Amino acid sequence: MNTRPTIALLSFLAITILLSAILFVYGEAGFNTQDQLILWQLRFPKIMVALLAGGMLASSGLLLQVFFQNPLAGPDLLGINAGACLGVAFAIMGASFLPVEWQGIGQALMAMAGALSVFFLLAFLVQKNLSRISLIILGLLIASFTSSFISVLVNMTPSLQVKNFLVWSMGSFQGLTIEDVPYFCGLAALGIVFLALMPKKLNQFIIGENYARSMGMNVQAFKFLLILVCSFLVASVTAYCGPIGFIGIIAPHLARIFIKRSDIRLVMPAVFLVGSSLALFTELILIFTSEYSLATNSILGLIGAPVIALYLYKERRVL
Amino acid sequence: MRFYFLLLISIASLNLWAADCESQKVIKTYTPRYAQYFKIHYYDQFKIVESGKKPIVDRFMVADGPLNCTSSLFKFTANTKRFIATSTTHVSFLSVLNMENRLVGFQGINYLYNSKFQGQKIQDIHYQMNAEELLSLSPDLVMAYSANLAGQKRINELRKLKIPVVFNYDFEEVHPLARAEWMIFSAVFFNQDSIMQKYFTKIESSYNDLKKQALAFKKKNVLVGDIQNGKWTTCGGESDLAILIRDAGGNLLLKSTSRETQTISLEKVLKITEKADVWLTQNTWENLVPLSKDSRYKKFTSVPAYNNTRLLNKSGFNDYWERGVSRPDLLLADISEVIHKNGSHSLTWYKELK
Repeated sequence: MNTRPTIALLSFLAITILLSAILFVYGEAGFNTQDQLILWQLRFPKIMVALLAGGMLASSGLLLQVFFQNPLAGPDLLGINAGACLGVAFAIMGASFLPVEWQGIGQALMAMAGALSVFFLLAFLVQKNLSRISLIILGLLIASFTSSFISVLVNMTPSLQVKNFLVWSMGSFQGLTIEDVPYFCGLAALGIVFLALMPKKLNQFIIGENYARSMGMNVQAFKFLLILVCSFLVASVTAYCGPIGFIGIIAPHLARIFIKRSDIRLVMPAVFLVGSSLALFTELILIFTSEYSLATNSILGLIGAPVIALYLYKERRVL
Repeated sequence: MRFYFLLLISIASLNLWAADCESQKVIKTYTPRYAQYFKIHYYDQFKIVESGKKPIVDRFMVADGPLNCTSSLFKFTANTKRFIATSTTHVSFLSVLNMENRLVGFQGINYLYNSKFQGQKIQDIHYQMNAEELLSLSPDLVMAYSANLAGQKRINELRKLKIPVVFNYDFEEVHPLARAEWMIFSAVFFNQDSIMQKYFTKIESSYNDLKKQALAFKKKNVLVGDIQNGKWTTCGGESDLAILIRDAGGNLLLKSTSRETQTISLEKVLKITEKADVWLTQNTWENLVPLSKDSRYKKFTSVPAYNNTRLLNKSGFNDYWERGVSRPDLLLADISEVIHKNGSHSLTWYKELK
């Protein structure tokens, strides 16, 4: 029996737990295990959010890579992230029209609405048998459209709301309070349940649509479900943390390097744990560089871009 | 034919012989006491103004009527009737001089607080300063800042199109009095600089009196800022607000050596051992409800919290950035009252959050 995937999975789990433990006892204020305020109001929410958001983004990346059969697919690709951003842009820049107590909720709901709008458009097109390449092009068009729309909103909006949006758009796992954590955990739990139900069918789908059909799978319905789950995961993270890049693309590759199996039942938890570890590792780097106030996405970009470049180099083929 | 030829030669000769304006005797020079980035030289028939940060210093002439000299400097009128401004800090002097009606264009008219501006026809100017749009308003003066024009090169391009545009560097100054002193620079174009110099002297004297009074009070610890995206955002230790707090007899907590806004790890903020006596939040909270919903503020819930949103217009924009910048003495009085609560001043911009 090949024990390599099990060892790899346990190693990922150990790394995730180790990073979480380090982040719990060590922070910008140094080693601290006494101050309850720092431990439970600052470090605990940060760890929980990084742990879950990293895993959710990584899993959504895996789903998209399976769906598109393209190893460079990520949450940005379908425009779902962009849709969530547009929703949040509307929520933040129109926040002055809402009561204070509604503003946080409005942001999460609008992110969902933005992501789901893109999702329903994509689902409609999937039902119409639009090719995968066309979906990718459509995703890029949606991203371009939302980016332009946000620019127009920024130009038309008072500076304070623009500032709030710009701060949010920098992306961070630290923006959530302990009061927000139960809501975020609830969404993450729902996402994990969806993910837990998918591996068997994903294994059939990955072999090919004809094979999946021969096994009795309703391929159209499964594609619909796949995009729904992906939209849900991305929208949940984007609403609370802002747009976070690279984890969705690189985590599946890093996981596969060690798992060396294509069985989604093994790959899925590994990808989730690698995503979590990447997010936690980014937080650790941010502690050591706290005097420079770096952004989460800057660190992830520095890690992610070379990993993708390395992958492309290793997978180079003569066309 | 011969007559016209001789006439042409004579005119050309007169032009050649006319002296350069800058070679004339300077009657006096106004060197600002606080501001670093402008200077006004007074001549008999005109003024030459220098503005900018070395090595790029813009020099231009402000004059009306015919001159008995020549100059290659761009000439502005000293009697501006049609004024376009791009920042709320550029218009506060108009209110002092009761000249609000001279403003014909502004970038973001919703930002204006003074109700007189709201009641008159002012065109909203685009951020990128479109030349056609500016020309359509036939301005005598367009006051910009370096962010919305790419630099001196763009100024020169606009001036070639006969658009009288000038940079105002008030936001580059650090000391609150320096920022207010730029009202003298603006007033030159309205021939009101001598009046504005006297007005500024009063502000300066009032500011310095308050500063002296603050010496008698016990120093209080002042916390500035709030949480943004998981970080504590506070003013720089050498910023204008830091200077105001220091002059009001306050001791700024989390003080840096920079004038730029600082973002600090929340863990470091929660670890500070000094107890804050006053907290100046830099947000638009109307009360303490948002604070009570975020447990990360738990450590500071007992500290009296204030922000500067007492005077907002109907669009939610703040007079602090209009009149506040031109009245550092009133700002200092506000902050002094917030810190020491001696009851001698009724707050203008700051309010306690309850």
